[in-house]
Amino acid sequence: MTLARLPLALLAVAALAGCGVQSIPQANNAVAGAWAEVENQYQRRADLVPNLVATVKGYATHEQETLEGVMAARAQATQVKISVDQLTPENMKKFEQAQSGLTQALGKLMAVSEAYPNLKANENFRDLQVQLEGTENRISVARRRYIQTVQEFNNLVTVPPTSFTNSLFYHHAAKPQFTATTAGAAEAPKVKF
Amino acid sequence: MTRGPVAALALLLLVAPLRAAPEIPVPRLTGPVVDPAGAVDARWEQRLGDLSRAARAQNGGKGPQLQYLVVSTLDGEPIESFSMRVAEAWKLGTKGRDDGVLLVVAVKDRKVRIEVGGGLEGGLTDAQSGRIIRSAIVPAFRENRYGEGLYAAGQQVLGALGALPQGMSQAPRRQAAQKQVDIPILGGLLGFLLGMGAPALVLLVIAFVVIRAIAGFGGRGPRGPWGGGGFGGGGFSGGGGGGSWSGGGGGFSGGGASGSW
Repeated sequence: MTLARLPLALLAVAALAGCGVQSIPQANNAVAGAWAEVENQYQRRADLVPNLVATVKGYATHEQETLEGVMAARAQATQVKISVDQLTPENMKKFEQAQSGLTQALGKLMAVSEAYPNLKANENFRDLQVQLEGTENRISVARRRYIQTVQEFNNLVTVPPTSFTNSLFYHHAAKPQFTATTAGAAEAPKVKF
Repeated sequence: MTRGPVAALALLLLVAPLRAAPEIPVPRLTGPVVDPAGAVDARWEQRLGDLSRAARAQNGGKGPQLQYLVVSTLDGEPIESFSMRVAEAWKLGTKGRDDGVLLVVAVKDRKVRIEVGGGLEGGLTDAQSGRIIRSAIVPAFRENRYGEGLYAAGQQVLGALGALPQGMSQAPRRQAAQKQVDIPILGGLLGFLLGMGAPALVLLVIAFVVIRAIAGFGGRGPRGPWGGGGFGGGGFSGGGGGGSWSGGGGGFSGGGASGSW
């Protein structure tokens, strides 16, 4: 009787090998990597802010409020750090709120800088502007890649047969996605060119 | 010109989270210059290709891969999004080194982007890319000199990476002049051989007849090996450039700069 069951058990183990035993940890690592890249790029943007503010300050003398707003938003954005194990929908929401606060403050800063021709002609400011653009672009690339890897991971942990393996061995919860909507996204933005 | 980046940034901030579905298909990677818009004439296309291939051929074929793409229109898609789709599809640069650079132009939209591979972001920063766009591309493109602007941009990109092939640091016109120096050298060689006197001449004629017989030159008519245009013109510039051209698995993470003219 037990002898008869042995091949069956072996077969089950062999089947598990193709059922997420490997692919779930791999996908988990991929998500960790993608999330690290997201945080890295947001950090890159935060690192750019003091330079940008200092440069604008030299020209835009009447924008004290906007500049302070940017620095405050930066301080908030850099406070929220989430490791990949702490990725829950609530934490994700906090992270996104903090980052979108900085996005908006920077958007406002770039908009007011339009009023200062000397600032716009400044080579240093142009460089910073390009760097900010590049960073925003990197952020959107990193977010998109995170979304893709999370989708793959979530498929593995929620869709059978790999979800059985997950509930047996790993007990991973599905990971949160970016919600893509920022505060005020529904309103038509006013951009003055 | 100064409004361009701000407008692009504003657009990026608005559009990035709501990225629209891909619209225009990624063209086929047929060579270092992919120009479905037809904005670059054949001469410049040849020069751009030579520059790219020479850069790639460095370090035993592991040099940075410089790629040009000139499309007519983006159909409303942000150039950053299109450029990334192309970069991901073509996988320019060597795997692990991520050393591809993609120069994308949308002629009708008057938009340009330098997309920098993940491994080159230290050597070619966003700020440098932006300066290259402002100094090399924008002034030339405003006068419809697309090929020239792209060539200068390619030189500066490779220069920033310390990968500008030898002899490609000057403008192409001077290079063409340098190549023609080869012809007097050949003439001098011929003169030297003739100057050696009759025996040499006889030997030469015999050698010529033998070569003719062996290689079957007859099909080319009465033209001698040193006569006519055999050595002139573009004979040297091609360099058998029709070799295969493909991406090597390089990755991109969104570095570079965009601009408009």
